[in-house]
Amino acid sequence: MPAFKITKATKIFSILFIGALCLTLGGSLYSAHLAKSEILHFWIFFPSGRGPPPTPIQINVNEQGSLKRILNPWTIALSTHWIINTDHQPHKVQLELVNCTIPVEWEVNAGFPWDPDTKTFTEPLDPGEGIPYLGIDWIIFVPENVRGQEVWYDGGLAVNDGDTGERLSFIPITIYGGWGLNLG
Amino acid sequence: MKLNLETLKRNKWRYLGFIFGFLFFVYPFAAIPRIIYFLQGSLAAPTLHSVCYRMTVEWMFTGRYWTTIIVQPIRLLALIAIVVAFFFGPLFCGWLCPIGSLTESLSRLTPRRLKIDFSGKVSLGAIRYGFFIGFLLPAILGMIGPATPVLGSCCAPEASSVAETLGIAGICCRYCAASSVQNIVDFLTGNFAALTYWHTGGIITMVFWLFIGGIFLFGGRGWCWVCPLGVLSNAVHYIGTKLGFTYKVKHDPTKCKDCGQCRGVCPSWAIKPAEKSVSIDRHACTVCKECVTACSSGALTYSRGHEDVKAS
Ligand code: SF4
Ligand code: SF4
Repeated sequence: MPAFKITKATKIFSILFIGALCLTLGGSLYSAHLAKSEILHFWIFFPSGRGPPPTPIQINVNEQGSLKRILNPWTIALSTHWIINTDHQPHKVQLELVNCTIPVEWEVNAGFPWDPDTKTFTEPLDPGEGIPYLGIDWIIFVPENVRGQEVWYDGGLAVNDGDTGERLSFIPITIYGGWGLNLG
Repeated sequence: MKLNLETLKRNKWRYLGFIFGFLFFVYPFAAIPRIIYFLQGSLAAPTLHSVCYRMTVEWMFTGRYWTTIIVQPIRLLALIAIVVAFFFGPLFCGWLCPIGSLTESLSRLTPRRLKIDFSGKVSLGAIRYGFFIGFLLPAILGMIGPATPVLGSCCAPEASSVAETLGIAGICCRYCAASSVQNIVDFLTGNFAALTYWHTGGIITMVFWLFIGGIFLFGGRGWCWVCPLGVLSNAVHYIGTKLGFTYKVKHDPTKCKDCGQCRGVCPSWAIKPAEKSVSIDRHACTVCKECVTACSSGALTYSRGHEDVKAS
């Protein structure tokens, strides 16, 4: 049986391979950690009571990465790609950020007609369907007078029927901003 | 590797390709997504995200791709790039991709003494495949066990218990250079809000893609090392080069004067010195043909047939 010889090239290859693998897996762990506080993505199923229950969203800005906290501390973002109608009947989806007095920019991109004034998808979403090609980012700008408070936002996202106004679902959202006391 | 008139003239079709890459894929131009969305009757904005090839490659390995292309035919583009890479080499990478072409062009404007350069000395295949396995692992582990919608992750929205226990998540969206390119172009074309939100992953990506792996890297193609489409394209190109009917950059050692001209122009660090000659690393070559046009001895050609040099 020929002796297996580890050449210098094999050693270098292995070191680079393992190094790149570990670095990428490290990036994955860090990504999972950041996902809870930076541009957190969530699912919206409606009406509540059908499909998975809404999970309350709690963002603690202390858990954000230090680079963001240093370079871009006063904006918080939330996002969704999934609004799914689990009802037996179609609904026009109207969205509302409840109890929101701080400036929020809605960036909505969808393969479905959207009215930015009423925050409504103007066509009914069929049962079992999700809004196609959806991407909504809520960019929240934390004003100076709020930065010193421990809770920056306490409200939630309501999903209403665009025709009847009936509340179909509600996802509580709280943003804890305690560290703002030091930076503000 | 500079951007002077001579280089521009020699490789005019390629630089025209760079411009077309932007016109084809980047909003507000985005001709290809526009056409596809128009045919589909979709109202979605045709941004660079719509062709996201990182997520597409991830889905190819987790099985989600094959159902997604039915509703999102735009995802076929990445598959086409890979099939083309088998027969002709990674032409999308070398000639069209806006992410790689932007940083390569910027790197050409940077003085050589300011650029990091280990070209010819490192095995990019090792780095690229190490990254690729690390890229796929969280996605594949995320499929084991019953999946539930989770808060937090964009590219792995349904986490399995295994993924949750290990605390891992996909890395497509958190570190996305396509977002950076699109945001910069949005900003330059009047959407000033595009640069208002920066998350940690976005900042890390920007620093690596644009600066360390771009402007200040010889060749400016550092991001390509960690691009799943790039890695996969090169992997299939490597297999393709073993077959006579495929196109590849070929090297004729009998004509080679070992002048090093080709090594000095290769943006992908794909040419390594070999005994009195050079060898081409198929795991890195993007068939940009810069070396072919630079070689005055005619030792490099882009054609069919068997490889003349042993690929490293
Ligand atoms: S490797 Fe990726 S980033 Fe680089 S040119 Fe190819 S597709 Fe673009
Ligand atoms: S080996 Fe030649 S064709 Fe391949 S990437 Fe380098 S310069 Fe381009």
